[in-house]
Amino acid sequence: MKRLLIFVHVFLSLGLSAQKFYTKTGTTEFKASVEAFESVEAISKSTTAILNTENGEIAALIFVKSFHFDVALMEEHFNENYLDTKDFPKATFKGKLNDFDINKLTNTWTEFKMTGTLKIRGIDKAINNVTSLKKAGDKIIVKGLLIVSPSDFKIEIPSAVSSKISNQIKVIINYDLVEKK
Amino acid sequence: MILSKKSKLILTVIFIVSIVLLFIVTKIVYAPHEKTADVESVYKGKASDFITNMNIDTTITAGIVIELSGRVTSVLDSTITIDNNIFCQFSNQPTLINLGENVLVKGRYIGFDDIMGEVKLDNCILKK
Repeated sequence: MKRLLIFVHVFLSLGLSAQKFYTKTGTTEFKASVEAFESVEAISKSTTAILNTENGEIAALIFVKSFHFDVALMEEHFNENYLDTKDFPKATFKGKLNDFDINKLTNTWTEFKMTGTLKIRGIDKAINNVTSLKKAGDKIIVKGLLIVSPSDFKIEIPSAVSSKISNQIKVIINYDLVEKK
Repeated sequence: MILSKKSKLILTVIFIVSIVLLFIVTKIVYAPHEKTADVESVYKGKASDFITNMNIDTTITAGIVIELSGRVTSVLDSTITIDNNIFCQFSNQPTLINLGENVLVKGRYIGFDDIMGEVKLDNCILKK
């Protein structure tokens, strides 16, 4: 009996330690609009994100090319002149939800402190933020808002358009994670 | 103020030229996005060969449109996976695709996903 209990304990521990939730179609939006000027915003519905529910580690990857603008020319300028997508095709985040405990999650939003590193154009920026999570059936929903500045990633905005692009860019994340089996 | 005939003519020409210029600039600035169906494929081949070839073939860069054929190994909402390592995201829900079916997909290559270990395509359309 004792052996059986040890076996069950080890089996469950192994199962739990590998428990990860992920998405390949997460939504990441950014809004860099300035009032009275044409909107500068885009959305990617191809974000990969993965959460290790055992330790709260979280990682995300966005292909910059996947950001869709309403105006095709704006999208072209974004990729070629500002984000240098050819040289830096990916934006990544690696971090941790502090004191994460999957048992704390309910069907209402729970806030967790999130720390980590956001890498855009090969440049790292430390992130210290609050992210909200909740359970929805078998899924874990993650939502959050980051504020970044083009200068954080050495993105030079020409003076001719600088007044039309906000210096405080809102990055909004919304990921529906399912268990990785 | 009474304008001479010549002045009226000049003003009319300036007005018409301005309208035409505005129309041309608007057409260029607000040109629509290219549709996958209308873009020529830079690469065509088997899904199973693509990961090897993308490291060799210098024409394969993020943003190009490609055509890959292979067996469907996963179907979820408006996405499918071909040969376990090509993830295809459709703009619109594709017609019914079954697991194990052989398909030919045309889509935009956006990159290799290190987290999932697979290639990602978006704006996909089903060719057959």
